[in-house]
Amino acid sequence: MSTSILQPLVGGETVVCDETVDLRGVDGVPVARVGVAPTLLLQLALRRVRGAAVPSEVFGRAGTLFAEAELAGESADEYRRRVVAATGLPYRVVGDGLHSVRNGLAQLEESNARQLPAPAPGVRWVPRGRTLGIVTPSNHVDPHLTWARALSLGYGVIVRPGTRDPFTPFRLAAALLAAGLPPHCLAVVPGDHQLGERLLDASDLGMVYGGPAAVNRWADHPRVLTRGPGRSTVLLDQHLSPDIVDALARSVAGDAGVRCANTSVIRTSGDPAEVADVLAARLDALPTLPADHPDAVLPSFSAEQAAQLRRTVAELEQAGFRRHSAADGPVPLPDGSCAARPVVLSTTDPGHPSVGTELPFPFVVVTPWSAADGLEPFGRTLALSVFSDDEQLPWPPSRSRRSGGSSSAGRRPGRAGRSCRTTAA
Amino acid sequence: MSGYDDSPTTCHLQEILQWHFSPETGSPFWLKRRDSLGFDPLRDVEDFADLRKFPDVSDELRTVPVDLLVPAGSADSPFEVYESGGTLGAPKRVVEHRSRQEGVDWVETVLPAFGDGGHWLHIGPTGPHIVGRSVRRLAQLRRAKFFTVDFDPRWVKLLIRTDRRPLADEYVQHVLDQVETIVESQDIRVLFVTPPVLEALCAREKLYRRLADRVTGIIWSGTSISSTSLRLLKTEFFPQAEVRGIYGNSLMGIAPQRSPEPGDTHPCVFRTFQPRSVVEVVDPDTGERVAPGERGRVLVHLLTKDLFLPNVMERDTAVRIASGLPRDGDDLADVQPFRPASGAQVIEGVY
Repeated sequence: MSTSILQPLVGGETVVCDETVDLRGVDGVPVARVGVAPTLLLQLALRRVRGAAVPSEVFGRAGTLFAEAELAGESADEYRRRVVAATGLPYRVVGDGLHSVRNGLAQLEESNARQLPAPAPGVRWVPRGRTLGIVTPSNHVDPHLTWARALSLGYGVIVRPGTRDPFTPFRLAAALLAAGLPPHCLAVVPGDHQLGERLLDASDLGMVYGGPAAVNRWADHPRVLTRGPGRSTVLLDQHLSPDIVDALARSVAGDAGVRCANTSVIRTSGDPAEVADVLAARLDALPTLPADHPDAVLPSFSAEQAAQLRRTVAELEQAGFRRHSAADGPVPLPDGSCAARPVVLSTTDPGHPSVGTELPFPFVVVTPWSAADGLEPFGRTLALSVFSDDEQLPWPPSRSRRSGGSSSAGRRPGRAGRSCRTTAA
Repeated sequence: MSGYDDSPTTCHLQEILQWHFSPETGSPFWLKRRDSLGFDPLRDVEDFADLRKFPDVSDELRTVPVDLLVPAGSADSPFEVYESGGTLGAPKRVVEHRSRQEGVDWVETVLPAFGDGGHWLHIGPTGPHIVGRSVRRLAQLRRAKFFTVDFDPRWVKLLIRTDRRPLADEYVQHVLDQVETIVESQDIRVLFVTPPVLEALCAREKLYRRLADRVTGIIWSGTSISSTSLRLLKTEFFPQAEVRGIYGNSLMGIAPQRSPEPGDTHPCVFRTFQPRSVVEVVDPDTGERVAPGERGRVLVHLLTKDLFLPNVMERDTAVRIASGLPRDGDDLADVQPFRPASGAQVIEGVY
């Protein structure tokens, strides 16, 4: 595995920074060295970066290059392996991300058109600003489509990569530039937390992916969009059939359970302990494999992160949550990393403040719900999946939520599956 | 007694020891300590390596009445009082009549011409901080008018220490508002400024545009700066200007960036006003001087007639650059705040 230095990219130029940090994999082995951009370099980027009208073919070409080509001396497979090593995402999940970003880029124009009101005479859509600053996450490849979309809408984009995954933004930037994006449209500036804050503050529009603290910091900022914990929920108002258990397992553990659209709460009109037992038995069957194994489906963490996650689960058990899964959190692997075994908990108290806890691996809490409770217990929910035969469920067909863009609570009687998905992680 | 080296450093040291430890000329602060030192400063200190025998008394400068610091030999001279920034607790007080001014006169000879015209703007502390007077004198020596903006570094450090960084940022903008007012009508060519304020200045488009093509000299000081930032300042932001750093503080005086020399591997090498201000870069655990090119803690000896302060451990670390004769003090590169494994947090703030 190469230990090249990823240096900031401003307007197509690589700027060598003397200050660097070593990025270690979840097994503790260095994966790459990353340049640390000082504030002045961010200011240079803010001064130089501006948007342009970019032909949609550029994005289609970039998607193919991103998924397949050797870029900056790095093959697609080498890229996958480095992301896996640094983030602990399963190899297959990173591969799925590559392909979904490729498809997303190919369909950008069409999906933009769907999101804008229909064209009308004398109406022209213009960007709200010149620059978009974005602090990207390290938990998945898909969210990077967001800033490519901003480029396609005419913004200049400045990316501060997530600490564990600087690889994806650099690779996507290289693909876009190779495909013909004007260099002045883009900058990728790795740096410390404060650099991200300054970026969000100084850009015309900002986006930040992060935990509750990062999201709260920017929640009321009119120019900054936050993407934080999704607290995605399932409403289970049907008997458990094999199909439904499959769907529940997928919603909790699909994509290794790392996304904000993965279910973290199941509210059921049935017996929570029974639902939790059945689901735990299904999830306990998932194999414990290192993230770079082709069949891995669970995320890996460093020993330190794993200890923190186990502590969190232990605290929930001490708070009265009952554990149904065999594992109480990540378990050590021979290479020094830890595989995050699924954790299924239940509580009889649907109003417990810890219901909605979101952890970056397959983790879910099952709790009771009755029709009389209505919509109230769901609170802020990014994705709500409904399993019900009841046509009279008491809520409107769509509702906008601040926690992560809009989501709809659809009524799809009898349908086993999620009623909505978003591209946010 | 024998073995006295006749290098300027050693001669100067003996002169200073005689002055401060003779009853006719010395300060009460040192004379009352003389018997409890455990050695005779006039007999047992041969060269500056022996200064390690002295205790580091700098903590007492936080509380000692300043009258006790003034040497009897200069009792009739007008002394001024200055204070340190207070980064690590209550400020330390020093007394000063002429020694430091003479150091500034030397600094003036080390700094480049800065285009030789226009006025100076000091965006930095004045008040109890000696840097304000020093930069004023530099400007006067260059026949420049000296503009200042009030600047309270202790307030900024308090804001940062108490987790009120947005307010600290607002204070910096308040300082820059005043800078903008000055540069709108005045021919400012040389800036004295700290790296964080300079970064904030570069982020203000109108102010930056006004200064970018006009400024011929930038003196940065007060906090550290990364080598990448320094390079960007010179190549991208102020390509017309000479950019020079000054290291120093209220205790050791100011150490300007010396001119580049063949073999330099560091972009900035700072030199003190020897033999009055002598620094050694030492291993923080053993106290031994580190090898040239190695990083260590900065140990300062202030050897002036106005004030004698040997063996003061500074808050900073630096890379030791050999300055010449083995018995001389060190030059310094890549100065950074010392980060102890535990203990007080060093807040650099904006000065």
